[in-house]
Amino acid sequence: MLEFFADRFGMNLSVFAGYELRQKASSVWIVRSDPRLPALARLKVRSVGLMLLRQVGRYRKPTSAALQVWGIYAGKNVIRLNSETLKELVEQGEIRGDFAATPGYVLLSLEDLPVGCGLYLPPRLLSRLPHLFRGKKMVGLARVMPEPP
Amino acid sequence: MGTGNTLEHSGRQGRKRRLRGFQTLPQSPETRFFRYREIVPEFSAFCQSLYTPLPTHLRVNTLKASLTEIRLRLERRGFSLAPVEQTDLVLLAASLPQPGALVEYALGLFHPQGLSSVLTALAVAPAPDHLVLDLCASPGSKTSLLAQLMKNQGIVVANDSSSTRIATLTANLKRLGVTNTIVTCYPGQQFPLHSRFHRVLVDVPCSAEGTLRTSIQGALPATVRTRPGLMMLQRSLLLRAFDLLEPGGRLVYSTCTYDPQENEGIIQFLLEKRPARIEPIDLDFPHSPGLARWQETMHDPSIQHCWRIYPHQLDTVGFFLARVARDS
Repeated sequence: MLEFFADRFGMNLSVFAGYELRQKASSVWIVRSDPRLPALARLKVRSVGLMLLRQVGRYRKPTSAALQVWGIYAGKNVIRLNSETLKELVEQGEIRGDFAATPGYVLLSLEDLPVGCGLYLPPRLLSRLPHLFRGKKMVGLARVMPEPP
Repeated sequence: MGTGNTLEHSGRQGRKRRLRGFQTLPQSPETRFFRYREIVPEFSAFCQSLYTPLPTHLRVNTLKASLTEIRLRLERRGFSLAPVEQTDLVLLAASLPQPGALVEYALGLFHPQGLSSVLTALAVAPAPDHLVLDLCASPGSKTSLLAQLMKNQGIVVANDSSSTRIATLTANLKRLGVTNTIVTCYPGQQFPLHSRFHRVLVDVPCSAEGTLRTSIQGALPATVRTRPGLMMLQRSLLLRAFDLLEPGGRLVYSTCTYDPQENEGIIQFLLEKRPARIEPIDLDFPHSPGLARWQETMHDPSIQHCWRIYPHQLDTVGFFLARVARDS
């Protein structure tokens, strides 16, 4: 599973040292390794750690939450957007452009901050960001993002 | 025929409709808390403080950003932030009434969190190698701070009895980048006993009198929650929390109410039922001590180690904290 992050985003797998994965159906979670985890498996667990990715058809889709944590280690398929372009992407769901990435899931980045997941199908860039960024949150985005000079 | 005649309605819905015209009249804090005039220091200052809006505090999520970084980001957008004297984890954001509307919130760089809530997690004092249980965890503000204090290491078991509230809890943990947490959904008083924890936080449901304070919009809430069986629930939650401690472990019991029966009364009950010991809370926040007596009831003298947080002493909601040790 973790090879996906190395292949797609050029991450060194050592950044995942100290974590372990849990899979349920098509979802994979990542949790901090701890020798006490097996004993706690007797509990009826609702969720564990952070959801890392989902299998979507033949493809693996990284979660925005995971990309926000480990995205700083990505070396490729990162699309850096300024606040205005990100706002447009969030509002419209997709934008068009020629980005330095190969088709597939990409890391969207605002300035230097990993923001989450997008899907690049040239020339379309589709938002796969959580709903938290959409809808009423747009008011906040619009307010906090400075207008272009 | 009068279709709007409320007498035609029956059952719970009908009672609600009949009572609609008879809403509870808001009581002034002076009236509502009159029975506490002997125990709250500077009672008139306390009442006055309830008319001042609750300040917006942001807890910086150091799992994702440094305090300096988030402060610079927000100040660059024109928001003024001030440090809080007692902790460097929190910023006072006087000009930011809706922090949840910011993109930095969605990115999990900060979490809007009252000082009393931050203080509670600090009192738990978890270490990175600890196994910690948050028995009534939703919405996850304290849980995520526990994870932050543990540097995302060790394990935090975050439990809540409500599936609906679990959704809020997991959403917050996800947003804040917490990776050391297991979420469970048991009634807290029935949490399985097969594991023992170094630290347990039991932030129980309560009458929430402490939250009765002018909101940022300037309105004083009309009512506080009441619920039958509340103290019975608080007792059983605290007993289970104590039973889940390993020897040498510590628990923190907290409420957001001033009611001594829900605070010192519950701790007194624990001391009578279990070999528990009340510990001083070694933090530097303004507070008043736990009550040695309430009305006709005398409490164990060690209960004075508990903390009562009043809004005229610390600019947050009213709170109660007890730190309990299990020696054997």
